Formats: sequence, structure tokens, C-alpha cells
Amino acid sequence: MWSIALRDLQMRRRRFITAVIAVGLVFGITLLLDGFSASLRNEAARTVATFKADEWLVSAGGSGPFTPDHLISQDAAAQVRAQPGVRNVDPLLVVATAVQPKPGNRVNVNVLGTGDALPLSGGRWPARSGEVVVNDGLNKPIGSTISMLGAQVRVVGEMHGVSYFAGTNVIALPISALQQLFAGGQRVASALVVRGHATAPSGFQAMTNAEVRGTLTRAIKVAASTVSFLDILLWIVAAGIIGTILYMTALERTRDFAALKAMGARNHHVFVAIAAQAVVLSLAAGLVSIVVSKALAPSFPITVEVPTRSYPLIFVVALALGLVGSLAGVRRAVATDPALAFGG
Amino acid sequence: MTETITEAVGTDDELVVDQLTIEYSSGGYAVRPIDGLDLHVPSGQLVLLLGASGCGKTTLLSSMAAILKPSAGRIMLGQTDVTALSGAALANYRLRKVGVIFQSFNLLASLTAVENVMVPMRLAGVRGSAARRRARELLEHVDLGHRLDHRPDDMSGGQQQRVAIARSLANEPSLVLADEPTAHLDYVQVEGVIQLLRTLAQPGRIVVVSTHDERLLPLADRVVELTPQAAGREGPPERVELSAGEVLFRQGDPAERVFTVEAGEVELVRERTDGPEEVVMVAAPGQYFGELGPMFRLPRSATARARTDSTVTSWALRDFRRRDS
Ligand SMILES: Nc1ncnc2c1ncn2[C@@H]1O[C@H](COP(=O)(O)OP(=O)(O)OP(=O)(O)O)[C@@H](O)[C@H]1O
Ligand SMILES: [Mg+2]
Repeated sequence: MWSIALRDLQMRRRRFITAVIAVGLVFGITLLLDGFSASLRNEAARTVATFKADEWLVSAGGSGPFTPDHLISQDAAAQVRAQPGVRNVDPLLVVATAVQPKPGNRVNVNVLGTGDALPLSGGRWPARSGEVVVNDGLNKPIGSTISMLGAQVRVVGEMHGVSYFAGTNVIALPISALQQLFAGGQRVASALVVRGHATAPSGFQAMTNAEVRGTLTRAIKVAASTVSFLDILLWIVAAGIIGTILYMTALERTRDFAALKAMGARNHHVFVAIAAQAVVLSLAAGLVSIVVSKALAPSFPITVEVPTRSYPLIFVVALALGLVGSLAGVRRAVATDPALAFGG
Repeated sequence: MTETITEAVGTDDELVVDQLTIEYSSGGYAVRPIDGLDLHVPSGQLVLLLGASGCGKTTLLSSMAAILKPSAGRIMLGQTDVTALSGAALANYRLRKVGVIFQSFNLLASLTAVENVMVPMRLAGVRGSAARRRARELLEHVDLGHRLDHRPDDMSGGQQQRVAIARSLANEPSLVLADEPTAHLDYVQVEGVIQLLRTLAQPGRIVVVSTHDERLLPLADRVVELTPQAAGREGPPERVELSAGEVLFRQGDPAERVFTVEAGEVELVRERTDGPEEVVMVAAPGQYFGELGPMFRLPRSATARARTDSTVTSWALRDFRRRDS
């Protein structure tokens, strides 16, 4: 029965190749979407990890270091630093604003003022006021200038993959310089980045790295669930394409199935004759989807990081959807009346 | 050419048809193409089912092939009650006991000749290499040794027919059924097929061939003439009330009864394929219609429809003839 299915597939190869490409494209898009939602999660994790923190101290009642709703005094840092078990404390000031990397193109950025230098992928950490480092996603080369918070600043260094809130780029500079630009030089901060273990002073609360990541991914939850929803829609489309193709084929093969049943084929034979085509179709579409996702990923505006486990998974999903999609065709084929074989 | 290859090895099963009745419902009317048929065929015979179109040849063959359940009666092949089969036993009968040569061959278009012949063997669980070997031998036997790897589309009707014959023999059935084997063939091809079918009937195998082609007559050990039958041919006279526009019988229906008009008007109209229907006759009270069909065992040549609310009496042909005497 497998060979009958494959021979039939061969005969209708044009239709099946078209279907493989269509379903492959759809699956390819689901892979890209997977990569997109993975990168939403990854960028948050990467940004938090950049600080090599063990704990974060924020204002009691505040929601988190990157969602600053309360300012604290930077001077609390000295007090925490004195605690036993604390190796280092750096203040962090976070300001959300917008810049114009190109004329006529305003984009949101998160400006981070830090006590310590952040890891760079190129250039150097700012040495004087009026200098900043930017995430490479902003496309501002070293040496260029940006107008930010009412001042002209010069890009002297570059970071890689430091963004959050769905690709919103980070601009970083020493905290004192940011306090100058944003708060008229007041020694304010959004959070204290602690290495070691601190007891939160009164008026403060401690957050773990996981909790901080949570505050970042919470903001993009809607985007992430939209992606999952699109995934499901795309799967339905894929199953629909497979189902339509196999149903059409089952209709065209009615006489074949009638003859097979008249010759003594059982229902499981008929099932295999259709389902085998679904299996081949979905596995081939799985392969195409990987090619599609690899080819399209670089042209996406946000880094698409397809998780490795998505690749084997797409075959499992494809197979399951292929079989579900073929059900209508299978039912149709199994129900064929063998008496049709006697028609003239 | 291996003579042994199509030599029947089945048991000497007899084919017994006992009071077989098959009834279809066609637009609410009972059509009974096979009505109380009895038949006893010893092993090794070739039986010809002869009859005009619509007389039930295909119907009878498909019930012998265990594809159509009769309304009443039995078909026995040896010890097997063909009409009582179900599930695995039914599939097994279709697969191993009977081989069918369909009127339109029903070869799988995607498969080569050899692969088509292999299908029943593969369904029966024969290994691929053994099935292929036997398929080749069968095709060589039907003189298609040079067409083994051709697909049906690349073969003539006669060649396709011979592939179908080879396929029907694949699992050494004791009953081979051929439905109108000469219908799709030109006269040159017919001769070869006739000879081939003749060689198939050997001890251990029964061949049943349906045809309206009288050229096949000399081929048969036995000829069964099927004539169109219709339900309700007998029975007492009945009054039928018709409301205006109601159809009494349709053109092409099997003819059973003769009608006399008691009240109202009934029109007989003939459907034309090229335009509006034509009115053949309007029967008024005292007039009769519909006598030719039952008399000559022909289907209705026109549709009878009440023109007004009418009352008619329906007669069996015999009663109609006696009605005035
Ligand atoms: N599935 C069906 N439903 C209703 N009526 C049917 C059905 N199949 C056959 N019939 C009727 O039964 C009668 C016998 O049909 P059958 O096909 O057996 O005739 P046949 O002798 O094989 O004719 P032909 O030479 O046209 O093949 C016809 O009147 C046909 O209209
Ligand atoms: Mg017929």
C-alpha cells in the first residue's frame, strides 16, 4: 500500500510539490515566529545578565529596575556596600526616552546610567561627559552623534544584543553623566545592582535576577501570546492545505479505492494509501520550512533566534497536522462503495 | 509461455445461485433486476450472462463478487455462503476466491502493468519478489511480456483488458467474473480476449461472463438469459388517485402495469434531449395506456403525468387482457 501511495504521489507530483512548498512556507513562518518569541525572552535574559548581579535592590513598592516608577538615592549604595557578604554595589539609573538615529526616524531607547562599565563589542567605555555607548541594533556607528535628552552626545563604543521590550535598544553611559542630563545632577538611581548577598535596608526590597527578567517579559507578554496565537492559526492553515490536497486526491482516486476494496483491500490498507501521502507531504514540508526559516531570518528587523529544539519539533508537529489534515480524505476513501468499481 | 500459470488450482467448487432476488429502490420505485434466479454451475464451466442493457448482468456479477448484498436468496461457492460473508471473511473471499475483470478495467493509473497485477498478491501478503515473478509470468501468459513496465495510459484497450485478466488470476481464484469484456474493444481485439477467456475455464475454476454481445455465444458452456424484470408485474387491479401534476411513471422506468383512466386526464410525454418534452397522448376516461412496455418487456417510452386530479386503475397485463371478456 505504501508503494501504491508513493506511486500515486509520483503521478501527481506537481500538485504535491506545490503543496510541499506552500506548507513548507507556512511552517517556515512558524519557525521564524518561534525564533522571534525566543529572542524576546533571550534579549531580556541577556540584558539582565549583562550586569552580573546576584541581587537587585529597588524602592519598596517599586516594580523593578527596568520599569522605574520610584527613584532612590544613590547614597544608599555606600550603606549596603558596608554590609558583610556584599562584594560590590553599583547604582543604576534607567530613563526611557526617544532619539533620532536618522533624520525623520524617531525610535524609543532605554538609557542606562551605570556605576560600572558594561561589556562592549567595540570601541571604549565613555571617559567624559557627552560620550555614550549604544547597542548595535541602533545602527549608530562609533564616532557619530545623537541628540538625546536635550544634549548632543557622541558614540564611543558599541554593545551587542543589549535591548529589551521587543528590541528597544539600550544606550549606556556612566550614571553621573546621566544624572547630569536627566536630573540636573541630583544623585538619584532606579536600583542598586548587588554582587553578593545584601539585606534590604528599610524602604528597599530585594529582587532576584529571575524576578527582574519577569518584569521585562511581562511587558511583552501580549506580543508573545500573539505570536503563539499566530502559530496556531498557521498550523490550522497548514493542516488545511494538507487536508484539501489529500481530500481532492481521495476524490480523484475514488475509483481506485472502489477497485481496491472490490479486490479485497481492508480499511487499513485504504487508510495507509492516503496517510502515507500525508506523512511524505508533511515531512518534506518540514524540510522546506527549515530552509525557508534559515533563508528569511537575516532579513527580519529583529534578531530571530530559532531554538534548536524547534527543528525536530516542527517535524513532529508537521506529522501530527498531516495526519489530522488527511482525516477527511481518509474518511472519504474508507467510505468508498466498492460497487462503484462495476460502473462502466 | 507457461501453460501451468493460469491452470486452475482451486478446489472443484460449484457455484450455486438459489432463489436470488436483488431489489433497488430507484426514485421510490422498486426495481428488481434479478428476481428469483436459480443457477447451478459445475466447476470448469464458462457461463454467459446474456441480456440487454439494464437487465441486471452487472448486478448479478457484483453479488457473486460479494460486493452487493442481495435482498433475498443465496449464492454458494463450494462451502462458502457468499451472501452471508462479512468482515475479514468477506475481504478474504474478494481477495482469494474471486477475480473480477471490470468493464472499465480499473487498473491503477500510477502503476505499471506488473505492479497492477501484483496488487492483489501484495494485499494477500505475498512477498514483493515472489509477487513480481508471478505477475510477470501471468502477463507473459496473456502475451504482454513486452509491456511489463508500461502504464495503463500507454496501453491499448485490449492490452489493458489483458492486464486486468492477469490481475484477476493473481491469487488463483476459483471464480472469475468478467463484466462486458468486449464492450471497450474493437473487433480485432475481441477475438483474442474471447480465446483467452475460454482458456480460463478449466477444472477448478468457473468463469462467468456478462455480455450483450452474441459473438460470445459459441464460447459458453452455458448461457443464462436475463430479461428485464420489474416488481409488481402481477397482483390484482388497483385504484390509484393522482393529483394534478403527479407523475405515475417515468420514461425509462421498468414497465409493470397497464393503466385505464376512470376520471380526469393523464398525459404521456416524451422527454427529448434536444428541446422541450413532447406530448404523445392525453388519455381521457375510458382510454388505456402503458400496455406496450409490459407486453414487450421494454422500459417505459414516455412519462405519465396527471393533467388534472385523476383516478386510474392499474392492471397486471394478464388481467388487463381479460378485463372486457
Ligand atoms: N445502484 C442502483 N440503484 C438503483 N438502481 C440500480 C442501481 N444499479 C443498477 N440499477 C438498476 O438495475 C437494473 C440493472 O442494472 P445493471 O447495471 O445490473 O444492468 P446491466 O445488465 O449490467 O446493464 P448494462 O448492459 O447497461 O451494463 C437497471 O434498471 C438499473 O437502472
Ligand atoms: Mg452492466
